[in-house]
Amino acid sequence: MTVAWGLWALAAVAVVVAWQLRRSGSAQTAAPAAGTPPGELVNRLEEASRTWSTHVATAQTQLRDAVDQMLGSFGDILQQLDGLVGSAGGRQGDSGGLAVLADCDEQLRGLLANFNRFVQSRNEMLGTVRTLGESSGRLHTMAEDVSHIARHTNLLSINAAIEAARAGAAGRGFAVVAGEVRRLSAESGETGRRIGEQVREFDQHMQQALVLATESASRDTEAIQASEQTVGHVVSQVNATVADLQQRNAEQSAQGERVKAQVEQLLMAFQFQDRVHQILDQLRDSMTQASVSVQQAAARGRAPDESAWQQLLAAGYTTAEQRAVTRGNAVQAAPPQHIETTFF
Amino acid sequence: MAKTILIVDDSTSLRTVVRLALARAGYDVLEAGDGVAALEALAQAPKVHLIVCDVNMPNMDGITFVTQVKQHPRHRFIPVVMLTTEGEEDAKNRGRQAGAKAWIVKPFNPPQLLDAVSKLVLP
Repeated sequence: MTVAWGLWALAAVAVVVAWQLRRSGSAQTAAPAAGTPPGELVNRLEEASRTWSTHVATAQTQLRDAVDQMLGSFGDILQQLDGLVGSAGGRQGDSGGLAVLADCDEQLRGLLANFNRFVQSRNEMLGTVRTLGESSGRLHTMAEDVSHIARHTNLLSINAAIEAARAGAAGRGFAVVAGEVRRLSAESGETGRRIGEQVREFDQHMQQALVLATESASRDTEAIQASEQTVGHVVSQVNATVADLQQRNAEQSAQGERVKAQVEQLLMAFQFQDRVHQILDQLRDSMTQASVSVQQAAARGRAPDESAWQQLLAAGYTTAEQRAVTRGNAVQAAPPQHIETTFF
Repeated sequence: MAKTILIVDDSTSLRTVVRLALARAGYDVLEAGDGVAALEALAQAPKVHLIVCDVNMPNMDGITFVTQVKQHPRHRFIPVVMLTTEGEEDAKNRGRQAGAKAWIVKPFNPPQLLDAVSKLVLP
């Protein structure tokens, strides 16, 4: 908008100056036309030139302030994007979280392995206890054997006592021995019976303990299996969540990079302002110089020299598009897109 | 340690654009709005590794500034990249004679500027 206004102003000045020149040119060969005096026209032109120049300067100031403000904002946006993309990339590249997760998984599974070893150890102990149970069965058989021997010994002692009685006085001593044997066999029988009872009682308690321990081991095994499944499930869920987060971070980072590239392109596009200001600065200077030149020419009563006038208009050109305007290629005049660097 | 580059341009927006391009590439940046301010900045800076300079500036233009830099015993080895809207050969010749090492016509793109800077910056 500002550029269009500036070019319009330049065109208007050119039209007025051209008109004045035509009048001045004709004045070289003929008397000034009747009507508005040339001095007044020159004054009007000078006034218009000064006013337009001021407007151009005002527009330049506003443009410069606005662009500076926008550039500052874009710079801030770029910095914030750097922070966002950097942190997203950092999260993406940081495998610390995964390592911690893997460590937790390993520790949990190590704990379960410890439990398994404990259950295995207890099962081995239960096997030993079962062996003891079998031994107690053999003890029970041995106790019955003792009772059986005691009964046989008792029968033998009875028979010995009968035979001692038949022998009369000669068998009296033998009868005493037979009586002692009978008493011992009775005690042996009683001892065998008590041993059998103790073994049975011991075996009963041991079987109860075995049942309880077996049940407990079974429950522990089931609990450990359930724990393993739970740990596996939790670790799997966390793995999936972490993978999802990583993917989101990667997408966020890529999106941030795209936005950054676009903002950087926008920033670079603001270089147009520098060219616009150079063109408008030259325009303002040229308008002032043209006004002075016309005033001086009017005072001399003749048009400015054609060659000097063209030099005045082109003085201070810095861009290719300005020179293109002078060559009459205003429509094609555009800033260069890219020119290679010249190294000296 | 980051290398220091002095940007000399009367356009604050251009300085901002150049500063962002250089700073994002890891360079430290000093700024000056014309040749006079740039000479003061050079006098105060401990070390400047390269100068990026406009041509058309108030107070002291870029060609005059480069000429003075190249006559200064302490600064004359600092490479100068001219960054300007001027693309005419006459202007380039004046830059070369003044002692500039490269000439880039605006609008520039960051890789182009960074390429020239990386090739010329002092070690």
